[in-house]
Amino acid sequence: MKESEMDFDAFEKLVQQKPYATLSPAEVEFVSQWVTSEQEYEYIRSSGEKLTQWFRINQVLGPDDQLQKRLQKQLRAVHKRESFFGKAIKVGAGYSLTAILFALAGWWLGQLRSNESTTRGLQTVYLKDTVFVKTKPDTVFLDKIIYRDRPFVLTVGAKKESEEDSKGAVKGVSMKEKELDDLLVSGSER
Amino acid sequence: MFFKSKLARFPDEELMRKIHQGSEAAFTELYTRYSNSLMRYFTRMLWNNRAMAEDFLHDLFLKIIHNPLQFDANRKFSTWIYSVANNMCKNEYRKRQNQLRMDGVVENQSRDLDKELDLMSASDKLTMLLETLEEEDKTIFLLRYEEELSISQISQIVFMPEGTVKSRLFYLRKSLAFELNEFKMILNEKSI
Repeated sequence: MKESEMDFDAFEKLVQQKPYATLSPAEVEFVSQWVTSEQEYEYIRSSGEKLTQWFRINQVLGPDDQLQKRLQKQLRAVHKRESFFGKAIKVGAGYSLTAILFALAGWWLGQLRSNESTTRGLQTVYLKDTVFVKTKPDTVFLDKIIYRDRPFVLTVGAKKESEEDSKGAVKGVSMKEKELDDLLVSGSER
Repeated sequence: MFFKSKLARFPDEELMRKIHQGSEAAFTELYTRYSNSLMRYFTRMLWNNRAMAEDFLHDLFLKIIHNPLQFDANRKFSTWIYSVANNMCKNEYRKRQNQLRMDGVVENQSRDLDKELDLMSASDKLTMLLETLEEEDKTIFLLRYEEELSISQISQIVFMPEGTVKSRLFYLRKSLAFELNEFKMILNEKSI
């Protein structure tokens, strides 16, 4: 039975107002969510009537009038006490506010006098209290050697010297060199 | 007279604000609005003990006088005052149970109940059935059928989901209906 889907108020209203026999088909379907038979419906209906009657017959009388008077007296007493404390607090607050005002006025007057005495002999002296020494970096790295591997191509077989190269080598010996050799060997011709 | 009629138009929450400021007229208005229904509730809950009910009513209104700030302004006053009354009754039930336990008395209301019910009139039977209800069921039942509060208000007073309140009320009504109708059948048999 999902209670949230059912309107209990509507069910109670129907039970109170209509006997089962006068319910419309839609109403019968609606009350069948709550009751399983006509008898159950009628039992609930008649018990409701009895309950209303019982409450009417067994009425509880209101409280004694004296109770209200006692309570009103209490209320008066509480607020009288509160108003007394309230007044006392107000008076205290007034006194302390006056005291604070006097203290502030005294401090302000004192401040005025002390300001007058200090401005009269005022002299400003400027002193250098910090010297900054400039420094230069002593080493500067300008170049950087980078080692790099170079590819070297190795050829198979030795290179043959051409005939012209060999002839050229012979041609390369000059007379001056021969003469120089002779001179070095003899060493005594001149 | 003018002030009285003016205050009668004020909502409960506004009256509470005025009571906090010390307004006696506002207190009288609020007392007039709630004293009878609360007296009824306390009397029914406290085993029809009228003197005790009056004491409870006195204590409840004293709480309003001494600590009006206890009232949560976000709540509806009627819901709040009934929840305070409900808590007072709960404490009294707990106290009574402890007292009975200490005295060694075991409450066995169902023992002779059937026999007693057979001999009673319908009105007495209802009184007896209400008396034998559990404290929580009794609260829900009275708030609904005597004080005519809504399901939503009752759920806020007893701190219970609305669905639970509805199902409890339905089963209470159902059991009450069967108890009363059984009684009617017995009476009919006797008269024959």
